[in-house]
Amino acid sequence: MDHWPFIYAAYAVFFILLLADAIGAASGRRRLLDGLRGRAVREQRRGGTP
Amino acid sequence: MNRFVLWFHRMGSPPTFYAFAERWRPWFLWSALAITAVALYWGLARAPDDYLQGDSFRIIYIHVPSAWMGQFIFLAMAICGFVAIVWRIKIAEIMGIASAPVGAAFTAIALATGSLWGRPTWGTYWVWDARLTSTLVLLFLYFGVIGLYRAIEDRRKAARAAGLLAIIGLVNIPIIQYSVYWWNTLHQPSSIKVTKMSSTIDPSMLWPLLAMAVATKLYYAWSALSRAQLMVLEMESGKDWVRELAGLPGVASPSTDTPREA
Repeated sequence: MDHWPFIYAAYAVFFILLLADAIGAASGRRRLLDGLRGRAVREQRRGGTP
Repeated sequence: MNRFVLWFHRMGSPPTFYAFAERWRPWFLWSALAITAVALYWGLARAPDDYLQGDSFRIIYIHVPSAWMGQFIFLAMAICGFVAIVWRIKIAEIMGIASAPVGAAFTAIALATGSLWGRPTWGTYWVWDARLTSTLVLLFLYFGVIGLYRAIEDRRKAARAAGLLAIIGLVNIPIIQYSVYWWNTLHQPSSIKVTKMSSTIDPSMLWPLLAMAVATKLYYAWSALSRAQLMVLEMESGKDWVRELAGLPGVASPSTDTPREA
C-alpha cells in the first residue's frame, strides 16, 4: 500500500485546521479598534465633549 | 517578594498583560514557523523509513505533538480556571477561555491524523478503543467549555463557569494517558516516557518530533495571546488606555471608566 496519500492528507488536515485557528485568533482586532474609534467619534459629536 | 510572584501580580493588570502579549506574540509566531519548517524537512525528507511501518510513521510529527497539546492545553485551562475561581483574576479567566479554540483544534488534528495513520497501519480509520474514545471525549469537553462560555451573558461569570467545567473535565487527562495500560487497546503504549526521560524511538526520528513539540507550544502561546488580547480590548473598551490604543490620545470623559455594554 502506498502510504503517501495518507501522509499528504494528514499534513493537509494539520495545516488547514491550524490556519483556520490562526485566522480566528488574528482577525477581529483591527475591526474592534476601528469600532472603538467610531464610537468615540460618535460620542464626541453627540455630547460636544468626548 | 519573589520575582516570579511579582511578575505574576503585574500580569494581572490588563494594560500590562496587553503590552506583554504585544511584545512577545511575533516572537512566538515566527519561532514556531521557523522550527516547524526545520522539523518537518528533517522528519519528512531526512529521517529514515520505519522498518515496520514504512513512510506512514511520518504522520507522527504532527499527530503526537497535537495529541500532547490537546491534553497540555486542557490542563492549562483547568489551572487558569482554578486561579480565576479562587483569586478572581480577570486575565486568568481570559487566558483560560482564549486557550479553548486552539486546544480543540489540536485535539481534532490528533483524532484526524491518527485516523489517517490507522488506515495503513491497523487497516481501519477508527475503532472504539479506550485511547481514541477518551480523546474524542476530550474534544467534546472542549466544545462544552466553548459552548458554556458563549451561553452565559455575563462574560466574567461565563469564564468562571467554563473554568469549573475544565477543572471537572481534567479527570479525563489521566484516563487518556493510562488508557493504553488499563485496557487492552489497539493504540500502542507511549514510546516516550517523559517522567523517566527515556524513549524507544531512534534519535534520528526523535529529534524532529521533539522540535515539533516545541513549535506547537510556541504556536499555542501565539494563538492564545492573540485571542486574549482581543478579549482584553473588549472587556476594557471603556478605559483610557484602550481609547489611546485606538488612536484617540488625551480622550477623557465622564464615561471613561464606564464598562462597555455587553
